[in-house]
Amino acid sequence: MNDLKQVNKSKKRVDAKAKVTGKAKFGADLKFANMLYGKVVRTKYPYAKIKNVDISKAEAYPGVEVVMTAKDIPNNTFGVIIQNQRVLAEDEAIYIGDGIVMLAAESKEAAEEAAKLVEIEYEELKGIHDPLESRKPDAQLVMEGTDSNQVVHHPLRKGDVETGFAEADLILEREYSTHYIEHAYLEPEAVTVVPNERQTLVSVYGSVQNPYATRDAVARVLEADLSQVRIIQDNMGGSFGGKDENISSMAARAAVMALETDRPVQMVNSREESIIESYKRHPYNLKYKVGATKEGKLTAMEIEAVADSGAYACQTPFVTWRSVVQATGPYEVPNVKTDTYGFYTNNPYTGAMRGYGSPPTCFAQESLMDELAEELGMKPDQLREKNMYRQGSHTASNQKLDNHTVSLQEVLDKAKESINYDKKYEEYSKEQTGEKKRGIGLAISYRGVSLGAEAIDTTGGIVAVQKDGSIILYCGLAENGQGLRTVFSQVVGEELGVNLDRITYMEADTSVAPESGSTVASRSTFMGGNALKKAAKNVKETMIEFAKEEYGVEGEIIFKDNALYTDSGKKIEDFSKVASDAFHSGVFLSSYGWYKAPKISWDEETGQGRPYFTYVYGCQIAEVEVDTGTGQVKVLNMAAAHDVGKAINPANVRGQIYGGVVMAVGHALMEDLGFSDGFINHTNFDEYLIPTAKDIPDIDAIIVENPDPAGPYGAKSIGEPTVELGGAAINNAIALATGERHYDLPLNLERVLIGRDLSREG
Amino acid sequence: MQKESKLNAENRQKTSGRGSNKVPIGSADFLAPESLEKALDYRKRYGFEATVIAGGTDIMVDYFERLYEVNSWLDLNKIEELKKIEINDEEIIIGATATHKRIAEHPDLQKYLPMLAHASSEVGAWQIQSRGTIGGNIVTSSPAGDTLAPLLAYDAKVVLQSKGGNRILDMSDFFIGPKENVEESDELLTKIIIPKPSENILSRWKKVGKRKALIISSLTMAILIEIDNDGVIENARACYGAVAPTPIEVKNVGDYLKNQKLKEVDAKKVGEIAVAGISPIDDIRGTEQYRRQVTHDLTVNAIKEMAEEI
Repeated sequence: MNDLKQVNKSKKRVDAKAKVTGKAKFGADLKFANMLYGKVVRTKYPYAKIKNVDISKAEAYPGVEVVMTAKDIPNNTFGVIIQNQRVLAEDEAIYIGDGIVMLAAESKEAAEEAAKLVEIEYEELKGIHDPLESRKPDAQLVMEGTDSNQVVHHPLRKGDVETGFAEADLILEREYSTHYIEHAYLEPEAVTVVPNERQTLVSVYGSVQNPYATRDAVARVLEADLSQVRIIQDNMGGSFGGKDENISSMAARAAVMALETDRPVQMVNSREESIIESYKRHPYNLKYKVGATKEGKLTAMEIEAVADSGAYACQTPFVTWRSVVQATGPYEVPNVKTDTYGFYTNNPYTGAMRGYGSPPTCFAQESLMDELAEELGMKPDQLREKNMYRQGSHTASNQKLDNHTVSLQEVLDKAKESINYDKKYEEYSKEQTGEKKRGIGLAISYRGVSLGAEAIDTTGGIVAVQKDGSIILYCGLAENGQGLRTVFSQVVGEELGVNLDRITYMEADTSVAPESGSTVASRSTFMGGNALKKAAKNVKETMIEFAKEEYGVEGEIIFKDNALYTDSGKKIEDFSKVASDAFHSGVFLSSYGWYKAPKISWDEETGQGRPYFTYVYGCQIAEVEVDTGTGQVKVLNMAAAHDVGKAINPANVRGQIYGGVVMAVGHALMEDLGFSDGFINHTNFDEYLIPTAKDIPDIDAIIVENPDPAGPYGAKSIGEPTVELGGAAINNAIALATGERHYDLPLNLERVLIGRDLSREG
Repeated sequence: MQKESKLNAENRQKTSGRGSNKVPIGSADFLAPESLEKALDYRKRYGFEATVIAGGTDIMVDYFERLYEVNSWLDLNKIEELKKIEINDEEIIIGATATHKRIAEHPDLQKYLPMLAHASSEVGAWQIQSRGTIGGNIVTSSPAGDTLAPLLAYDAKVVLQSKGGNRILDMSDFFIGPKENVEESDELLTKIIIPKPSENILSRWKKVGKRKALIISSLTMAILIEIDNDGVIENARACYGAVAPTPIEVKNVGDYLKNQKLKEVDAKKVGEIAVAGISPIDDIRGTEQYRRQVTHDLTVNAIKEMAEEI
């Protein structure tokens, strides 16, 4: 382990050159002979009865090949958890992104013109746009065939909160809210479906985050076997959790039209279509009640978190489950009562977005801890140190943290040191004169790695050594821009002593690679790394056996620098020669690796058990300057310390941290859909603002390494923890700077200046 | 409340009202004259049927994905005369197609017109500053145009040229509404003339936006104060963008400040007068209340800071 050649090195991304030179092909770059262009006509209103649809003029438009509605679709519903998302709306539209008619034509222009000729007669209805309204017993129902608008409820009970609050010297009750977040991937959704290609009914090419989930949906809609639906992922221009159900829906639509016309159909969303139809991060309403002794020991926490699921269930059951596990934050609390809910509304549906269910609870709970510290007259870090998890601590679900290193103290100390927290905290706590005031704020978290008790957690991979010694890797996990091709190549390269230029990680192809679960939950390095490491080990053993026999060597054989060596350091043969010799001797040099995650458990009634097999820990500290004349907040510096177990590629880990911090800055300060009564008003990036290079703070990305016994080379995860802390850290920094606390996101100019967002009702 | 999904409505913002109501004249022409004279010929012949393009940073956004709707173009980029920046004892003359970048980096403009140079350095981002022109910013006539409040504060005049002759107008007379101005169909805005400011000038520029680059301003402020050797205000102009249908000067501020000693000015009172002179609306870049409060606070602070400076 001390002599790592590939792993724990900042290797250049294996796909960097193709991407920066423009050679890499993305979903919308593909062209097939005889291809048609698809287009969807969406509802005009968030909630409306569809009284009549007249497609005759659209059908008659020159170049139009097919125009279809819900009744032409073999099976109109799909979903990863609850199958209630419709490919096209039939009797009523229940959110502003619902498609009603789809068509395909010889050119994009013809498709667009024909779409304008579709005549839909609506009866606009009054929808329900607030989950707090939707949860009322007498609320009108959003979803047909349900008896309430509740999608899910996750309870967690530990100890007795009544007793806990009775022991408290101080009780705080606060309410928080978080808002919709658009993923804002650079590349809007794109899919091309080719019918009757390569022994399958349909081949689906496109910007697909989760090829198996999309395969499930397309097969279900077509009522076809999984083996007849092939999903091949193209290069991705970003996803962040956002190219799952919306891509499944697009692929299903294109597949139905491709089969109807027996021609390839391509569908590409404009930015406006993407923002209006795609799912968002769940907005949350959160109520927190916390009790503490005057010494600062937490005695009880009572939490209610209500998430807006929008029109479909989508991932709400799992998103709110992550919330229930992590709602208390990384603190020992003897008495906990948590309830998380999701409710249907006539709003945009909500699903996976980097961070999943944790950014809303982190924002609330870490803002609350700061306020509690202030009330108790303690420094924010001291209150945390008094209560945070340490080795052997028990979580809210009563899981004992003893199978990995609990490193909260380490991440906290390192982040504090990097940004000079103590000195700045003292300085900014004093009276500040002038317009511009500075503050510093911190947040810490723990986060379960991988899916946890959401679903079965397994991944498979194939390592195939070719007869020239080059290596092909297959795995069902997808390169979504996060660097997985590079990381997996490094893991296999390390095992087999081969440099990365000899290794090719294939795009995810559902008809070739083993089903590996979704590329979500920051699980890929851990799960896929373990699977491919196993496969590589198997191949290695085969090669060792062959080499011993073929070359008459004994003792340990070492794989390094593209060659095999004896334990005394004598070179046996080049790796490529061994591969060639083995192949020509009839030795099979490929292997599957299958990895099943360690055992977990969960009691749905009490929220007790072992929800995740391991955790990561992080601390982020924000230093801000607030212009009290305008409400403008400038984030000057961020320190972000994250325990990743082991960094397979440190440069890539830092990249993830930089990206996560920047995203959180956008979420905290400016991103806003301009949402009102079911409508989305900010439909492009001139109005939906994300940070520019000038808005990005100086970021110190601090990698903390405490190898996990179960991780490949000790690696855990990094993608999502980076984005859950910034909101609270920035909020706490603003509070220190201005003396005023905020409870709602985003912290835009008006909120910071006047105390509320004037453009919203409330 | 919005009545229909934005997908079905017009998606894009319009920044130039007039150019979009053209009647195509049959032949599509791309006119790129090398002389101003030729350009004025074309302008007379085509009128609004040829869309004038300088940097293109507004018009290309206007017509994104529907450029085919533009029948003919009149491109001003080859006319060297329009790019000139001249400074003499009396005046500073800036050609209409001088880019924001050149203005921002011009040492003399930084010295004499710091608010304009600063504002130019905050337009959009590097790429937009490199393409976009001061004339374009004026003719687009957005109430939020970043260079407009400074130009008003510097008492700029615009030269409108046509085959028939020249009109020289005060900037304040040029704008008549959001994205509307008095330019006639045979006229081109060719230059901006600014009286060279005296030595005893104090000024404050501020742009407020929801992020630090690539942002349409929520509010801009340009305040200029001329004082004599005793610190008495001889002349003052407080100008604002995005707080009224056009960029405006609040003349009551100037009237109030005139003949007062700057150090004795009641800054709060100035803030109140400024707010009384604006008529902001709610839009996506800010609400009326926010704009009133910020106009007040920024004005008060600017006056205080300037008083401390002398």
